[in-house]
Amino acid sequence: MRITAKSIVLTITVIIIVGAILVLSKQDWGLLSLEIIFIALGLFYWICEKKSLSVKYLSVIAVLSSIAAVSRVPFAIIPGAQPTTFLIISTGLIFGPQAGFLAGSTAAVLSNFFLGQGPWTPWQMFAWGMAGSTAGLLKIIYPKIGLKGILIFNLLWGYLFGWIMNFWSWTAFISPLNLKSFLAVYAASFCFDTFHALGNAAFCLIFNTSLTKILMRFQRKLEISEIIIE
Amino acid sequence: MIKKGPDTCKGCYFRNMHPAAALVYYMSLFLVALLFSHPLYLTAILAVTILAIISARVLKFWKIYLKFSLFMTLMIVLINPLVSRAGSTVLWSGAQIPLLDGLIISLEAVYFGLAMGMRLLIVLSIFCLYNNTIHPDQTLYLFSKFTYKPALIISLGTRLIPRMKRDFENIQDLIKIRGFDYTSLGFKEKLALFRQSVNALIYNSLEGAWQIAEAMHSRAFGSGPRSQYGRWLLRPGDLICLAGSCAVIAVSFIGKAVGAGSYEYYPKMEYIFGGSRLLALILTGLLIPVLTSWGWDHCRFLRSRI
Amino acid sequence: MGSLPLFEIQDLTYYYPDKQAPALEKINLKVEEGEFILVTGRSGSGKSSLARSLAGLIPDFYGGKIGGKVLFKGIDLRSMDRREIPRNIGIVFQDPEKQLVMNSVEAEVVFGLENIGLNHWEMARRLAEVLGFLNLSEIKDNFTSSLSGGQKQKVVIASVLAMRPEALILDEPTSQLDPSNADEILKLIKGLNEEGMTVFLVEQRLERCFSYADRIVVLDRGRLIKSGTPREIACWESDNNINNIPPVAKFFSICKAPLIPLDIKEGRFFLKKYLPGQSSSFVCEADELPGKQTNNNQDVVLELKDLWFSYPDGKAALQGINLTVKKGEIVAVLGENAAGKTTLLKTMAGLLKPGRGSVKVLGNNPNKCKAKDVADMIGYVPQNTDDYFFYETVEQEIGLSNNISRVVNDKLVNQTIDDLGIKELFQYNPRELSAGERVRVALASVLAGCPALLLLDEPTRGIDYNLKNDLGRLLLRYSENGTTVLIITNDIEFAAEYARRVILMFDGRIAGDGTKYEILGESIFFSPQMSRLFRGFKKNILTVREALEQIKFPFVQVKSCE
Repeated sequence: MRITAKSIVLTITVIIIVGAILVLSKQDWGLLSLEIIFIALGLFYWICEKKSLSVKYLSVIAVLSSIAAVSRVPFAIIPGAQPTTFLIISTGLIFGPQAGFLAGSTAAVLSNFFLGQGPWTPWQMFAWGMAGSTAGLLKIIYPKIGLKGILIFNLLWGYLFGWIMNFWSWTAFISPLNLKSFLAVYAASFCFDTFHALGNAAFCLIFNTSLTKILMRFQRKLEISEIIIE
Repeated sequence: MIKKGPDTCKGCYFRNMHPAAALVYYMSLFLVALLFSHPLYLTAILAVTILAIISARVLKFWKIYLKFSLFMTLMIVLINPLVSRAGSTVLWSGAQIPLLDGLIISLEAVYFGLAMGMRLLIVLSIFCLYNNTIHPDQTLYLFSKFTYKPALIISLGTRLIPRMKRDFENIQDLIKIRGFDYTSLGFKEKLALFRQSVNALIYNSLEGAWQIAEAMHSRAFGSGPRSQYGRWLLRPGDLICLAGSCAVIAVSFIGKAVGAGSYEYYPKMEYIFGGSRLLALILTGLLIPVLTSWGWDHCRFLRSRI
Repeated sequence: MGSLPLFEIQDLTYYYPDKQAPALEKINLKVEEGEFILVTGRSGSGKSSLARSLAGLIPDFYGGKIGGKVLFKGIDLRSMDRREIPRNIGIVFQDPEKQLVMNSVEAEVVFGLENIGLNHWEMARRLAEVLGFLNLSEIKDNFTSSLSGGQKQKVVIASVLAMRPEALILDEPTSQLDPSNADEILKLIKGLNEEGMTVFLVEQRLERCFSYADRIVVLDRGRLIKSGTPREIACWESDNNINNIPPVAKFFSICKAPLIPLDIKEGRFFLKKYLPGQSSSFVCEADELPGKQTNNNQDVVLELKDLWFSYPDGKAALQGINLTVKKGEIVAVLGENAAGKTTLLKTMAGLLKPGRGSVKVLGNNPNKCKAKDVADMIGYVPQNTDDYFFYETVEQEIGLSNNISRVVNDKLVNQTIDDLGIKELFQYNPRELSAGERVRVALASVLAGCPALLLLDEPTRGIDYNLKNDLGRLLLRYSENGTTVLIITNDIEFAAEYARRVILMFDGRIAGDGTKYEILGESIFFSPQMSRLFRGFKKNILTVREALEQIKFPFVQVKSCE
């Protein structure tokens, strides 16, 4: 009998889920919040897996998320500020919520191959994935959004990203979980988040116009597929 | 520096484990660390993790991790005693700080903070172990069984990134060749030049994306259901480790459900050696890979059988 | 079924999306099973499009407008199942870097097999087969990023062969490889063909694979203009003055030899047969080393003294290089991969700082000058320069370097632009141009600065023979105007044609330095075809032109073509 890795991992997932239900009442919030994040990511990925995405689309997302991921590395020294968030938001704005999510979550994993995976990886996947997909939704809701709107959106995600990231350190390592400790954790990261938000805005101002132009061109290229037989 | 890890411990057991076995082992360590806040449990798990790190020969990378995580650990160790008012052994009280109405620092809260710092240390150590013993390619291989497309995107990304770095260096050379010098330009010109070079990179990479897509398309990608080639064999040693880790996961959940291994810091710390029978069980399971690793390294007879 | 050709192209016309001109126009072609077809033509002639339409990528992947049909064993490719095409027709592209999908060799080879849903055991079998056949078993677990260019392309071929196709289509598979790797790949393809694989090889340059083909097809502007055996094509090309065939075949077809030899072995056999034992009878000049003009009184442009360079990983790429180059010289630097050629050029251009020793260009150290001044002195064309463009129009792109140059020789700039034929492209976006045009723009953007020293790194790699000749002529003119030119090249014929001095590098050192007659004429491997052909008959012949000047054949009247 061949024991496949798939069956092993499935079994373990089942054990963990059953275990989680068993001890739900007594479980620490840290574990629980992580489980919720994993379920959310799994759900998103499952949706992406079901959708038929073209090869071109997949490889364009791969390229954009790699760029987003690499761009994080040289900025690792500056706390908070990096062009990754901005690039992911731009991807979402132009290629849609799904591409935004995929690019964001991929960029998180990819960049951590260089900077080190850690408990933060799933949270970054989630946060950047959300940044990308909400950007895509924003474009659907306001198709004519201008630079100003995009700028505000970028600023906003600078803080939101940090807040999502804080959630786990708050739930897993702090007790009691109350407003006071919540605020303490968020205050500790406020400086970083501000750097992040300002960085986003700066990158947006510098790159938005030219990047949008390039991305639009490739987006058109992806869509052209009409075959006319003479 | 982290990226180089997997190659520095090529001969060690953890590097030669089936990636699923290794991954499940790390997962069991992680789960136990998060399920129990019992100080004895945390200390024991930290010890096991450090043993594993030593036998995987990644101690040197672990030290780098320690440096990087200093800030976060400090934050946790400090915030906990600041925000908790539940401890009964008050060490210091008074000072009115906004938001923290009436600061009370208790011995219990300090201990709790230290325990949580330890928990973070364990978590980071597990990831250090993971980063340095499992190659991204192996993880992606495992995940591609479930969510193939995202795993493929990530895998493509790992191939593209070194190329992009080289491209960007070439672009910088080209700029220099054409007579531009970042140091001699004004801020605005510098920015414009940088933007042009980033655009050149993005443009070039996106064109490369088209070619990769074409190569994939021409090899039947997306033409229907796909199968997967099993690249690694599951050996007896892997099976033992897997069984041990699974048992640990199951036992910890059951133990947690029936209340074993629970520990209260507040209002007064409990007896620290309580619930050690469950701990013994868990430790037995978690030590299996460390022991097999020892066998792999020191005993030829065992090595051929692992 | 037996008589059906493997491929039959009927009236194929194709337009890329948004393009006004057709990429392919009314192509009709039959490919029999087991044939080796070589497709050639200038860049932009539709070769790649033809290859892609045979692999079903056009129009399936590209979209656009299409007319006519491509039949595979009598079945229209467009009606074939998407999964069936890769199982029958394999395609390999130019750049192995842009075809590899996975990280490890093993995963790469099984990637296609997984896509067609084979079971584990079938995959294991095919993997074992193909890795064994291509001698890749040893690197099975290696990461593809650690392989050399030639190995990468071999892995790509392995992953295509694992699908067990009946026909193999290759779109310039060797254009990004150096000569020894390219030879290996071409021999591999030849071997596959001998074992029954139908091969459809697209190549811009025919020097190496000319004699392998059963049939050569020539395309021009999307049309099929000529198809025939290598000998027929050799005659036709020399009649039409197309410089795309190997020198041996070219020489004999210009001489109107009765039967055109295709390689050196046949050529030497031919020489012995027609001129037995009387080698002096057709030799008209005495053996004297040409090109030995002494130019001692000219100014030194480039001077390297005891130059050492090591990369951070400790590899000593340059070891004690001493070199003096004078004004107006054209120097070719030859040597195998990793001999330190590119490092040498980068040090000269001031991009790398030497560990020891000095670089002097016109008496200045490029490392200590401002980038602006260096760019005025030195024009450096790195490999694959056409990969990156910075501006939206060709005019801006060229102006980028033109602006900064203080000593702009307007006449020469305009002439460069005319020679490269890019005047009419000025308002286009350089990124949207065809491959050939992109190279021209990239060259112009460096050359237009009119520097005193030109450094070119593999300028002939991947370009077609037209552009190659244009470039050669351009360099000659620059040198007449006093520009010094240093070219790294693996293209020995190009070096023989245009260089005056040749430097041979090995393992970070200079292993040979002299006139091209001294170095190329007396080498076994780094020597042009003509030199090898006339070894023992006549010295100092490196190019077809020299051979035609110096050798008079008695059979000029014999007409061989048609």
